[in-house]
Amino acid sequence: MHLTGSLQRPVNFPGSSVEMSQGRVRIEGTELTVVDLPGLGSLQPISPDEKVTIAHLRGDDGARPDVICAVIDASKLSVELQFVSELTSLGLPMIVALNKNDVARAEGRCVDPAALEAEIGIRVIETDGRSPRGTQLLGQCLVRDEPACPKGLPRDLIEEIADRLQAQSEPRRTLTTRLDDVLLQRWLGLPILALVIFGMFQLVYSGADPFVGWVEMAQGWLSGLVEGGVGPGALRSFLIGGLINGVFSVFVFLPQIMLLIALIAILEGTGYMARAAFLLDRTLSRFGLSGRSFVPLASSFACAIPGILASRIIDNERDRIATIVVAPLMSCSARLPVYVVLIGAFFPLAWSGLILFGLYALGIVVAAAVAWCLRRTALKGGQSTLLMELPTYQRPSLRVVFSQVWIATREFLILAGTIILATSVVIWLLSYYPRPEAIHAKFEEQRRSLAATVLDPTQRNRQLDKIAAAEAAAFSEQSWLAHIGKAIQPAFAPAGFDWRTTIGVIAAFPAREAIIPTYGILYSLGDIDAGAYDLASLDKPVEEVAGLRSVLREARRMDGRPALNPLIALALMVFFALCSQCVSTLGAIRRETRSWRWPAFTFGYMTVLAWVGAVAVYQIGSLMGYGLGS
Amino acid sequence: MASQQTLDEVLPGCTICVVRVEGDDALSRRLTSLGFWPGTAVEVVRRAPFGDPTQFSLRGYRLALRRSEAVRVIVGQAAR
Amino acid sequence: MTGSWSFTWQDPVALALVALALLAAWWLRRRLGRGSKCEECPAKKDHV
Repeated sequence: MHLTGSLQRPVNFPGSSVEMSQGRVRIEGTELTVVDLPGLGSLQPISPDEKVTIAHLRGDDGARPDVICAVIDASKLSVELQFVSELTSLGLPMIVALNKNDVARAEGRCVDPAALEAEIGIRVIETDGRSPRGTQLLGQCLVRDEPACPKGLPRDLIEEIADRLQAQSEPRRTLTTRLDDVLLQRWLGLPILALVIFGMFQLVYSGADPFVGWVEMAQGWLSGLVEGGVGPGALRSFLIGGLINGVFSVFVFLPQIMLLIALIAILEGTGYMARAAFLLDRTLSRFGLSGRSFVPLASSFACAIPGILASRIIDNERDRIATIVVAPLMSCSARLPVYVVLIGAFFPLAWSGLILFGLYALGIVVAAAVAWCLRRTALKGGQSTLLMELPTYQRPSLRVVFSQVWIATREFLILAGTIILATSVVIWLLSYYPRPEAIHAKFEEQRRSLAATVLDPTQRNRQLDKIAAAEAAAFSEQSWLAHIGKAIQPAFAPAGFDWRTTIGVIAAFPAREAIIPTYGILYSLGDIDAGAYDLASLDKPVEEVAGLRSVLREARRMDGRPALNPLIALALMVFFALCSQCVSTLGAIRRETRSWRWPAFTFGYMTVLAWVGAVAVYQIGSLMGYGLGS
Repeated sequence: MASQQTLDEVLPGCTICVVRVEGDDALSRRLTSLGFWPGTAVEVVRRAPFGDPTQFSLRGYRLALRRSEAVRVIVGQAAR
Repeated sequence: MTGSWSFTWQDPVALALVALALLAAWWLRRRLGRGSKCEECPAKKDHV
């Protein structure tokens, strides 16, 4: 990472790098291509990511590398040296980068690079993964000197060398040991893990909450400007409802996503993730997943796509596929904005963490059930291995955390952001047209009637606003979008959804967050039958609309019943928790399983489960009296 | 010869010595490359809450193995 | 959907902007799309 200055991810856990990535760097006039490969334990690969590395080293995918730079962990000197010795059999020039020597030093077991170099006959340069120290030297060495092809060493010699160079520490009470005594303690371990995860969610939600309010304010202000500057018409509607709405919907999610990714990155960087996998391995295995599934599944809480890619660290193919197929059930960061808005609109703040946790837990429970079923039917047999190192606890490098957040933010803005914006614009188009003259004429008549009455200016303006709102709603009611929504709505009626929520769900398929701007367009308008609307209804007070959350609360159906209530909101969130709505994820599943069968299966089972879940929630809740009633 | 057992039978808190790794498949090769060489001292640190996996300490680092993996390592009392 | 529609000068402008916005979104994706992470990785040629 420091060599090229580009943003790779040196993380304290296996599976951080499952693909090759390349970068170019110019050192003293020479251009180097640096290839970062997934970590390797020996020349016999056990999982797909290791096969990638071996293939590249052997030159199976193109030219062989000119120099191998073996990054070794100083605290495991003897084991690492054995592997380095194995690597010499490839017959390529080598340099050794001695990493984590600072960690070894803290344990009283540091290694002298010069002495090591003398012993093994390979150039050794001390590096530190968390800082650029040593990297400059490494770069220069690669450019100036001609690294030689070293010869291998027999194992007894390696052990001897390691013993000589590395002070054998008595099992010291290091920080790592002491922390593990608590965090992995028999009775405390799992409760602490649950607390950590719960705390993370609560933090993300409460951290995100103020931002949602600010962005809504900013959006309101900007929309007000447009309203002042442009008269009523298609352009104003597009700017406010399509463009501003779309763009701000992208920004309102940013703080939450950044926070979630930062927290996961910090947790990864400390080394705690490995402990979590250690604690959960038995449970995961019971459900037909591997202990190694933990990292891919945990990553999927940020975004399922890197999680699915990370499944390459799983050696057993059936475990791997099971992991891939349930990864989308881990509520990804795209679902978070939907949860935040709906929880914020319909539930008290004190409940928010609990509901959020419940939604995430739902995904996990369903995933366990699906994996269990799969491993007993379509994916029967075989078991993967654990063989997992528990790294030393480290203070996570802020630089790495920042870079991970930046990468994720950038990807989100560009990939999800463009889809959300495009979807918002298309939804606007479908909701604005057609524009029959007949409806316009009807409301013009209302305006003429109003002009004839005697009112003071403030009252008159308020009535005019109401007429405008009603007119917009009447148009919306007969729009193309409304026709589509009403056609599909019967399928979702048992879940308590009205046609606008149905449209929102459909609009969420390209990108989950797109439901937010869609709601912004559809629900800011009431459900109004142009034919029945008359001047008399103007006496009812105008609701002060302050943001999407209050809009959702106040929205009404044709018959006057609320469009949404806490139960329907819950059913909707359950739908989102379980539904497969991300085309990119399905694409990743296709690539990783090399067939269309699994993405199709994933889409199918998740959509069915989502529908069943939403309907079940609404029907059961209705029986308990929380429904809309008739 | 000192009494021999498999690694999964050793109780937490004990330190024993590797005799050899059983088998000739990918798992045994991987165990070897992880540092389970004849004569290596291995400390059994702790078991996970449900009894599996187990944390070991060897060659300067910490490793988690399942019972099904540890059973491949034949161990005995330290010779030194 | 038959019958006359009420059009103003704003309609063609809005529609033009819709087309523009969609084009911009598509172009942004093409230009700045995903890096090495999810593109076709040459290493995927090898089969498990």
